[in-house]
Amino acid sequence: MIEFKDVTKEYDNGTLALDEVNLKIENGEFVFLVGSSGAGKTTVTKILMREENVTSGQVYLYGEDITKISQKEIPYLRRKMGVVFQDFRLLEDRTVYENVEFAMRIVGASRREIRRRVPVVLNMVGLNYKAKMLPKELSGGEQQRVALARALVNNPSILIADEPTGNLNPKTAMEIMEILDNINQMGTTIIMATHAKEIVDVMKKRVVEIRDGKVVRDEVGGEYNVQPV
Amino acid sequence: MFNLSKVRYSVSQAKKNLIRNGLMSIASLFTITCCLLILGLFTVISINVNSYTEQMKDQCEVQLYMTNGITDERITQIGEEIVAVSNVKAFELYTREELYNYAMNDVFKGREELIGEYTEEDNPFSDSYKITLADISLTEQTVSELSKIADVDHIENKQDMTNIVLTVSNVVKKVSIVIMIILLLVSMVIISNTVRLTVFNRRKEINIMKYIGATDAFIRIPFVIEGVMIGIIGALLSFGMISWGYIALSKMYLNSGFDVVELVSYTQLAPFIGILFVLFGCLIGVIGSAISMNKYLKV
Repeated sequence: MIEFKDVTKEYDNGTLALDEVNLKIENGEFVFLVGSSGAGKTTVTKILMREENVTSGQVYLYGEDITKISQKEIPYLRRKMGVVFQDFRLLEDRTVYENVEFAMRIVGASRREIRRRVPVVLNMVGLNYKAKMLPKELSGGEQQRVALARALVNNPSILIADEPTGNLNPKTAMEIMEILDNINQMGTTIIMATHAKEIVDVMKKRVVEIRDGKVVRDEVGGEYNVQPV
Repeated sequence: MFNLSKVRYSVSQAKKNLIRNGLMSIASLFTITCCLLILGLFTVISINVNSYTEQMKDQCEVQLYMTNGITDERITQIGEEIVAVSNVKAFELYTREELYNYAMNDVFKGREELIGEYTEEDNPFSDSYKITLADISLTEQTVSELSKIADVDHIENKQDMTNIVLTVSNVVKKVSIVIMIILLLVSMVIISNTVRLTVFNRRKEINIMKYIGATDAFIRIPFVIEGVMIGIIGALLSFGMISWGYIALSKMYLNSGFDVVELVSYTQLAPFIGILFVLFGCLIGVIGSAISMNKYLKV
C-alpha cells in the first residue's frame, strides 16, 4: 500500500537526502526507520506527508502516486495519516481535550461525533482523567500521549512517528511504544523513524536502515544495529 | 467543503483568538480606529469644501446684454437662441424697464438726483439675460457661442471668480484623492504588520494545523473573521467619535455668529461616513490578515 519507487530527493542546497530508494510497506505493518542523523529517515516521512516532494521517482499510497497531487490535495492526503513528532507540537493554550478535538474540527466532524470519539481516544492513551489540563501541566510522556491521541482521533490508516520517544525517559518511552504497538495490533500501519536502540531491539519489528540516502538493510524482526558514521 | 460545523468553529475560534491575543487585538483595534479617524476627519473636511465649491459654482453666472432698440419679439427670439446653446442650464430675462424701475424705486429711492436726467424713455439700461451654466469650466466656449447671436451687445462673465472656484474645487479633489490613497496604503501597511505579528505569534498553531490536514481556507478564515471583527469594532468606534465631534463642532460653529458657510448636515453625512468606515474597516481587516498569512501557510 505504500511504495517508494526509485525515489531520489536532492534539496535545494545540493544535499542528496535519498538516492534511488525502493521500499514497500504493507497494510498493518510496523516499520522502524533507523540510521544515523542526516541519513534520510526524516526525508522519507516528509515525502509521505508531502511536506517535501521527490526530485525523481514515484511514491504510491493505496495505488495513487502522491508525488503528482496538487497543493490543494495535500491536506486531504495528510488526513489519511496521523503524525507524531519528537517535540509533541501541542497547542499550549488549549486543554488536552481541545488539542484532540482540534484534529476532528479540521476534518469537519460534527459536535456529536467529537463528543463521542475524543473520550474514547483519550481513554486509549490513558489520559481521560486529564482532559481538562493544559499541556504545560503534563509530563513529557503525557504530552506525547496527547499528541498520539490527536494523531489517532480521525482513525488514520497510517501513523507516522518521527522520533516520538526522543524527548522521553526510557520508562516513559516504553509506555508510548506499548500504546503504538496496541494501535498497530488494531490494524494501523506504523512508520517510526528512531534512534532508540533499546526500543528497536525489544520490539522485534521490521527494521529499514537508511545510510547516505540509500536503503542498506531491510530486515523483519531486526535489531537497531546502526554503525556510527 | 466548508460545512456549518466548520463555519461555527471558525467564528468561535475568531472570537476566542480576539480574547486570547488581547494585547495584539487592542493594538490592531487602536491602529484601525486611528486610521479611520484621520480618514473620517479628512472626508468630513473634503465633503464640506466640495459642498461649498458646489454652492459657489451655482452662483457663477453670465450676463448677456442686448443692443438697445430691438423689438420684444427679437428679445424672445434671442432667449430661444440662448436655450439652443449647449451648457446653458437656465436663463432669466431682465428688461431695461424692469432695471430702470428697480433703480428708481429701490436702489436710488429718495436720491433720484444721482441718476441724473435719465427718464424711462431715455433709459441708460439695456435688456439682458442672466444665464446660469451647467458646467462653469466651459464658460469661455459658451460665452464665445453666445456672442455669435445677433443683436448681442456684450457679455459679462465673472471669469476671475469662476477661475478661483474651479481652482479650489480641483485642488480639493486632487488633494482628497492623494490623501485617501496615502491613508489607505498607510493603514494597510500598519494593519498588515500588526496582523503579521499576530500570525507570527501563532505560527506554531498554523504549522500544527497544516500537519493535521487543515486546508489553507480553514486556517485562514478564523484570522480573516478576526480581522473583520476588529475592523468593524474600529469602524464603529471611530464613527461614534467623528459623529460626536461633528455634531458638537457644528453646534459651536452655528452659535459662533461667523457661520458664513453652510455646513453639510450630519444626517446627510452620517450614512456616507458610516458605510465608508465599515467598508474600509472590513477591507483592511480582511486584506491585512489574508496577506500576512501566506508565508506561514507554505508547509
